[in-house]
Amino acid sequence: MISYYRMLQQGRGRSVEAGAFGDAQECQSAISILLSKLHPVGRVGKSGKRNYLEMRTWDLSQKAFFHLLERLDVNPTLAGEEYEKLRSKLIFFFDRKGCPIPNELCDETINRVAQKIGEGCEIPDLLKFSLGVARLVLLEYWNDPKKDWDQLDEQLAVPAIDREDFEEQRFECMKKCLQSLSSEDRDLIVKNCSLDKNGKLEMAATMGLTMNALRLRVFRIRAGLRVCCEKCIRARKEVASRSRAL
Amino acid sequence: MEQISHNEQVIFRYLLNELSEEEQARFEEDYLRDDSLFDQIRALEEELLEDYVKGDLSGPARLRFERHYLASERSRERVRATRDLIQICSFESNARKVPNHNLERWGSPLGARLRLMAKQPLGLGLGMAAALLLIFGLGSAVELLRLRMRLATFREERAVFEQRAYEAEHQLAGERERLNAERAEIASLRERLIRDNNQSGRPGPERVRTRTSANQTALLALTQGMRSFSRPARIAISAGTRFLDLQVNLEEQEAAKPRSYRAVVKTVEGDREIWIREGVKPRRSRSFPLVVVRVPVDRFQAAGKQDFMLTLTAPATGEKNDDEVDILYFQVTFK
Repeated sequence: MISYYRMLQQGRGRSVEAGAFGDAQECQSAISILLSKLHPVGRVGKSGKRNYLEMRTWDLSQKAFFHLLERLDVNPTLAGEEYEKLRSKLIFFFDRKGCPIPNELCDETINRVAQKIGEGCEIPDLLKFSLGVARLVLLEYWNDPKKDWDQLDEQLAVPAIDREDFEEQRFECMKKCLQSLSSEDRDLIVKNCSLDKNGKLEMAATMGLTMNALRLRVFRIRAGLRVCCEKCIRARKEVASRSRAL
Repeated sequence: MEQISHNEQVIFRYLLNELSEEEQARFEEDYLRDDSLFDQIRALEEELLEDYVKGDLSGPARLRFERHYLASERSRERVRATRDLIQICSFESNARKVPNHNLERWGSPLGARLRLMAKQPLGLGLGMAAALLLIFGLGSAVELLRLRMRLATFREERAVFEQRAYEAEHQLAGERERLNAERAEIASLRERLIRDNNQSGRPGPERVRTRTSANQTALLALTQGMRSFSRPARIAISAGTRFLDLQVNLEEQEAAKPRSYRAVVKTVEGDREIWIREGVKPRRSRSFPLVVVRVPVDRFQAAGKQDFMLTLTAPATGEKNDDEVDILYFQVTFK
């Protein structure tokens, strides 16, 4: 949302990769304080310098976006949470469909939904409507002749040294983040990784949990670990680029 | 939020793309509504990734995983991250089991037994041997895990290449289909032009209905609902033509019920099948839906006849019988 606010000032969409975290530190507006953890909405095909797609993309007005948030919840904080949930579910949806740019298509879906709400369309079931729009966006994407071939080429063109470098950083960050967990959480993750199915069942029984509850607990710790790891990699990249600049 | 119960099998099947389209649609709507179901899916997804990296997936499940799950770079990245985590955890776990390889600090029952044995003169040697064996075993386990992970990496890379090949094939097929559709559209426009010319009294050559091209494919346009047995559509195939595209212009109502068709080409005389194609998907030209069935020309030659019929049926759903969409008659001759 913060980036969205800035995006409006800049008058165009932006890459999702920049993330909301950095934006939160920059933007001081009241809106940003309210919705400080929202991911930005961007435009499909505007990732970096290139236009990937030919499909028609929709711009989003500030008003339409606020209408969407209001529709999600009257309380702005809860609306922000609901928005993030919807976003992560849509990204998961696109990802499971094998789409290589799930974030961008999710943004496009949200843009369209918000636009419709802004236009005053009667939408009795917002989630169902969002899913319908997501399916349409996906269909348009698959039929787009430009699609992701450029992106595939780009991936192939990544030099092996860069990839190795990145993998090394990821490994180091993962180690560091695992160490930063509380000893209880770390034990759980380490044990969970080393046990087989029966072992995990026994562990769940010992902890007085169902298998599902144990799985969810591990998942939440790992989700935190992933966030920590992403931050660590980003920080290392920044340090490396700064030292290169010097 | 609603609570919708789904068993783990359904979730695994969704993750491996094994659900039917209807089931998938229902399931997607469910997880969009139910936060706890969504969390459960994500948690099971982690477990699936872990099982894959550890090599614990069964053969078919592994194949499905590689073909479907590893299709996106994002998922491949997650596999790599899971591999890192498991590797780090296995080191950590081993380090805990043998801290600094100091056997005196073992806390396990086996360790205690070894310490007791080590107090005996004869037991000392045995204890040391057992300890060495245990260290060797642990080393082997670590090595085995490392090898498994390397194997998983190779599998992952292979899946990536397979996926790329598949996508390239898919794109090529798409391009071909688009080209065919365009050809078919041009042919149908010509056909309309002829019809208009006929109506206005201008001569409309039959050859416009059919078209043979220099690129070894000929096209014959047929129209649903016109069972012209007495005056079938005709095409003269020139030497060097390898395929005949039978384009059926469907009635508008067919567009309302999108389905795939079964196309069977038979000789009129003797009712002999010369070509069958399942799952023919209709396309939408600018004005009407159409299907294109590509038949190798040598099938017509081998049949040794001139009169053929194309039967289009839509597969049955539930207990209903197959729906016969149309039978279209046509003639094929060779120049």
